[in-house]
Amino acid sequence: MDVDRAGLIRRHRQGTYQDWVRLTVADSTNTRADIEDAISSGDHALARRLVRRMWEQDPTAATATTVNAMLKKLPEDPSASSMKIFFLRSFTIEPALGPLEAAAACHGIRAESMVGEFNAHVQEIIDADSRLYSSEPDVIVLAIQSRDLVPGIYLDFADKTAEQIAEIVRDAVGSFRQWLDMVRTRTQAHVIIHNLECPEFPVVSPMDGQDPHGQQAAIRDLNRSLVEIASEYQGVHVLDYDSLVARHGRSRWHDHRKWLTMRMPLAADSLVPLAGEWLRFLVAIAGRSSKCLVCDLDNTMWGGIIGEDGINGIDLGVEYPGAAYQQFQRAVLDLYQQGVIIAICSKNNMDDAMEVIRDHDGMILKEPHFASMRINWQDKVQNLREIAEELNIGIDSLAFIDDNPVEREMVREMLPEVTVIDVDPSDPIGHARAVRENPMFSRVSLSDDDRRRGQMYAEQRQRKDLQTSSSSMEDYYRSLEMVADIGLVDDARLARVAQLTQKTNQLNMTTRRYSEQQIQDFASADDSHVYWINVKDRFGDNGVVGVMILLDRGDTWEFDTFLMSCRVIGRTVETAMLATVVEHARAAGATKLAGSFMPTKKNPPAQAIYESHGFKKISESSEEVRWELDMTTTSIDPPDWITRNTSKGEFLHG
Amino acid sequence: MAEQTVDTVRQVVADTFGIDLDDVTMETSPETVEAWESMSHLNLVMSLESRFGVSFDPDDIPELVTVDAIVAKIDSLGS
Repeated sequence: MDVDRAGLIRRHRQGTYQDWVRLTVADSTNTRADIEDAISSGDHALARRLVRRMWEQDPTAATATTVNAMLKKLPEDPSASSMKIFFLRSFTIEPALGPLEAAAACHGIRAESMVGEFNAHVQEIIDADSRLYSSEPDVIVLAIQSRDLVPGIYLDFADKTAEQIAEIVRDAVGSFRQWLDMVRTRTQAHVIIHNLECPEFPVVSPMDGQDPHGQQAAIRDLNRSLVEIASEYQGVHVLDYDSLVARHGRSRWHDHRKWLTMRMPLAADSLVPLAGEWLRFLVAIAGRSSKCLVCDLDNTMWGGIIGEDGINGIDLGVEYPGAAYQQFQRAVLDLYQQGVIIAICSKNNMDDAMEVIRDHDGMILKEPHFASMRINWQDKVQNLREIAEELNIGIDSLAFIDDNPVEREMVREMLPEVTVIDVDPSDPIGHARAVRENPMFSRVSLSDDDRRRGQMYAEQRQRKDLQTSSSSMEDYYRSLEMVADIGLVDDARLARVAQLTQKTNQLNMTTRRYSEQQIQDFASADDSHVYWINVKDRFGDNGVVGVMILLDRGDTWEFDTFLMSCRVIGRTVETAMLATVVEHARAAGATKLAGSFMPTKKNPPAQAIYESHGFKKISESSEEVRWELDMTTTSIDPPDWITRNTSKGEFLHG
Repeated sequence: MAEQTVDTVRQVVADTFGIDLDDVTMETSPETVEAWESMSHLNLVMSLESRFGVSFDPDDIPELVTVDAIVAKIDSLGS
């Protein structure tokens, strides 16, 4: 196809639909020239989008080199999260860092990697002055190979007795524990530990597979213990390196020649999968995981076009190609079970589409799984905006999957913060993989709230219906029959409380992000208190929806953090929270309650809360507005339509 | 010597060491490029392997220190 690409890109910026079509359909082999063109013309958004496309179309070590070279010519992406990652390693890991940086940049993370010396992880962990700690990393990766950590099992297994092997396993487990203890006394960085891989060829083959004292059994014992140890610490995660190697192919993962000559064990084709696995952790740790997957219907959810083929003509069922679409739906259902919200955005007649969703036997996903449905002829960009608004989540929490390249390209251009997932309608077998492989749905912890989230959004729809039918707001509040449990943070709620500080953007006064370890530190200090609030109503349990961290300065109690999930926005829950704190602060002898509002792009909804509860403005700058409540003259009445269980006895001063 | 191979190798060299494509000639080597040291050489080798789908013999890797030598080696591997 002979296209005037420069002209196309120029008109593309002016944004006519036909040009989108042509640019999308036109061959993309010349992406590099397009990127350079976009950079030199100053269109950085277009350049970033094309860089991303280049990576997605050919994610290899060579492309990573090009992507990183292009990114160096661009100013820093202001919307990206910065992360410093320190690698403790026993092998040459450097060639995987380029692919990590490229993949991370294409997923909104500016990854800066630092590497420790060869096999020096023990010294670096022990030495409080080592670069490991002085570089203040956000994440530490501990990548030690089996052959280096347990050579007695990996290399010289044959001459060992069962007792000797058990002792090697015990020693290795002890080492991990010691290292983690030491790391945790010095830094609160997240730690990602590679578990140990099994050898490509077990010594006694094929019998090793059925030998409880075999070589692989010993490594799996060690890996099981590693999982147990990791669970004893906050922010320590196990990367299942053994499964990663197996998934990719144990015989293809390594390059033995480079190992023996350069201590580089990985084949060129293994670098990107390894980087991708690291990225899964980084996305979740940075709090950038997508909260909602918005699915197209025709040729995405089922094969064919419902408006043309009719309910009996589309492909969806146990036979191929319908089976491929069922696999896709199962992958989406798996996300739903982990708390990802599922929505629909489709150009169709509502009735045609709903007939399939409600009545087609082949549907794995059912109507209640969908938190929002936009089935109309409006453009998808507008629909996506409305879905985000309806669900009360940021546009950047959306992922969008569609088989139509034109729709995807429009969304990429108009809503660059949305994660766009490509699927190819001519190969529906790839649909499920596209969802399962995507790092934007990764999680490093799964709370009960996560598991219930889909259901909670369905309950939210019912609450909206009630609000519409209520005669006044007060009438609505009363009919909700709200019960608020308020308490000080305990082990069971630590993860959720930390998660709320990491994820809450809108009703968040100071937007301070904390790890579980940091929350634990606040909780165990004498002069700070971490409160949570759990709200139930007649439709269900909203879970833990609010966090307050108070610094006790004697006469004054000060909010370090005051946040509330959007799930309970507009239901006076913040008043119940503030009233409780006032009661407790007074009981402890304080006379003033102070707090700051630190504006961000996303937290205008929180701006008026202090003022509307009687706080007076003390000072104001562009970064911070300080508020104070004089508790000797001003009270905050708890709303009488919320039943509060604060079980005072368990509280602070007795 | 395939023209396509030369262009691609020059491009990979330029990207790996962060230099201008125009500055990469057949004679470009660690003598002329400051950033071309042992670790970035390994990065270059891995990028070339992934770009051309080849695997170099460890004995050859230390020899791949000019664009000319790299192109000749890749051509001899039949890529």
